[in-house]
Amino acid sequence: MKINVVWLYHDLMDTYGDKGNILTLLRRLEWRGVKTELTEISLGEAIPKDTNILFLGGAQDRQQRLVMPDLMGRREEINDYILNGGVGLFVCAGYQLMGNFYQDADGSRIEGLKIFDLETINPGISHPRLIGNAVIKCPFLGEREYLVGFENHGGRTFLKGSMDCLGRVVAGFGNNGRDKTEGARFKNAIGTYLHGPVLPKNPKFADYLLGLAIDRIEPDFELTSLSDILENRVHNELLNKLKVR
Amino acid sequence: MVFHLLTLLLLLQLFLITVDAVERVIIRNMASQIAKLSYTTLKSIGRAGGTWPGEIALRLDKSYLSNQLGKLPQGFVLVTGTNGKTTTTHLLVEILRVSGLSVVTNSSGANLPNGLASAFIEAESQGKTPDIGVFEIDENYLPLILDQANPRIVLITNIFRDQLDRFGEIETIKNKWMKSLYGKGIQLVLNSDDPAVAAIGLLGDLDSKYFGIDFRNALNFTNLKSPKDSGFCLRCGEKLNFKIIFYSHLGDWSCPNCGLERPEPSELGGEYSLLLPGNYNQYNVAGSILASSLLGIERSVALTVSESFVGVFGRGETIDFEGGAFELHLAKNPTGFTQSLSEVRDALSPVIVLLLNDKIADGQDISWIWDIGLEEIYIHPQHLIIGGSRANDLALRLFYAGIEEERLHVFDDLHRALIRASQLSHGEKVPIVATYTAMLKARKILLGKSLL
Repeated sequence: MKINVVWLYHDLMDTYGDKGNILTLLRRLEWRGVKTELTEISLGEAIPKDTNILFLGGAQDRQQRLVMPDLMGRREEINDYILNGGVGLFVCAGYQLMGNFYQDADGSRIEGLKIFDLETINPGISHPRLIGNAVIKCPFLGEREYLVGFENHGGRTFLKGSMDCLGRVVAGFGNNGRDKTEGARFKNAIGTYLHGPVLPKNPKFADYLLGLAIDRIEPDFELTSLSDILENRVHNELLNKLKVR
Repeated sequence: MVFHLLTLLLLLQLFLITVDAVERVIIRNMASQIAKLSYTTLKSIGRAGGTWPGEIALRLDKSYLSNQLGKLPQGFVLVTGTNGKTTTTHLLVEILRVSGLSVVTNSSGANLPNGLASAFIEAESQGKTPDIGVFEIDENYLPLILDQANPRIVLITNIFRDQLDRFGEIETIKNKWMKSLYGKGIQLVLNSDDPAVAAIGLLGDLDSKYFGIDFRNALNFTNLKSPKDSGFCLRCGEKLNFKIIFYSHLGDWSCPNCGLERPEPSELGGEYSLLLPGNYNQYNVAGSILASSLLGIERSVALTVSESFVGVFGRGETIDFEGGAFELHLAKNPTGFTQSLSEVRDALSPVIVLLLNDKIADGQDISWIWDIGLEEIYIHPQHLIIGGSRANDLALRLFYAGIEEERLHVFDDLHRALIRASQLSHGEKVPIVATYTAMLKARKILLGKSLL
């Protein structure tokens, strides 16, 4: 068995330590003796058929503009992948672009991939950005399980219809600072504003994603537990700092 | 009757204007006196320098700084950019002082307007009358200072992605700078090897001279990989080609689409034989030499001073402590960190100290530590002593980079961390790589003093 982690626009959409998410996925598999492959995709390159985990990260405005035409051309490709249960993690700009649209302060809209039923509105520079440490409660990971991270976004995201959130805000702003939701979940695809990056300090979450990916090719394979001393120290330190535990 | 009323009103008006003017003169003088008093007070309790005197002066008299800058007989130089400001500023100051000029400068990297104001107060309190000023200024405050007075030279070292939760994007900063520089007749001194910085000269209608690395002797350089910040053309947005990368996004660049390319530098670095550690200091020296020559200094003088320069507060500075010695390296972004680590790569010390804080001056979002190219660097010292408010995050990062858990020693208490490092050093000089406030704290402990 080999797990192919595919990093879309690794050269154009790589901010806030996104590399750490990729590293976490690869290392945690390698430490369990699972073969891994990292495929870095750029403009015009096809997403491999054997993609096991798809990652799309954050971007500065200029890079996002460069990416948009190419990304829109991949709508069907990515939609099929997700509908078939493909595992994906979409962070910050990647998360927003998976939605229906992103609306700027002047009312102009950037159309998204329309795979997540959500929309993002940026109220403009007169409104403060949603920045700071964040903790969300994540029941699907287990009882009293949390995700910790750092958020920094101007856009306020609103989930529509029956879109599930990733978790409920315990500290911080989350999707929009109002409805206490953070992130989104649809099939095996997850979107979030949490960076830090999010996977190294949330080992259970990282293993959850790995488990989903492995389940699709070798359902009987069990992920052995890692000692995770350093990971949990960072995780718990942030929980204590924000007085969650 | 009406006539008397009008006369009365006029006299009243004149009276108020006079009082106002007198008040302003008084306040202006008072501002300077009060600020000097605060400086002397702070100095007497051992907390010299810093930004409080300047802050007080500016609050009492908004035009304090512009007046002081305007009074300098030979004008002033501003140094800005992401990395290298402090070293470049200090080196340039040293070159000018050796040449016989009295220079006012902000010494401790206090690079906001109150830091510049404090520099003038300090000079005045020491009875100095400076001929010329050289100031490092924070990237975001360059336009503010340019609004107040025109420098002779603005030197821009580089633009790196840095502290994303604080500052805007590279393009935004570059555009802001260009807008504030336009039409003022300022001489620009720019890094030819940094596409965004060079673009300021190439795309703006601004008088520019360039410094860069002599790539024809490229074989002498170590090519370190580090994430690219602005590998895209600032004119057309196309991904840039590099014939050679010196480090990160600095190198011999050109745009395959619109033809914009690295301009020819007037001052070539790369071959200076320096006491300062690090390849990146070749740039700082080249910039300082070029700026000084534009101020009329003989190049041979500038070169001699540069080659004997041993470093600044926290930038390669060595401090003795508890029978051992520490060499301080500031790092606040992936590139700076990588460069500092590459410097200590060949260090003989069996221990290295790494300190990560997340206060405002360090950047509260520390995810950049995952962008440090740790996988491409072999960290030679066996023991890594890790401290600072986000020590655990740094330890985790190093662990994922392949450093064994046994080599990672996390300390809550910085004093104990430095003692332990001394013990493990076997008399070798121990490198410390730290973010800004962690470096201040370490320096305070090592020197037994306190800095504002």
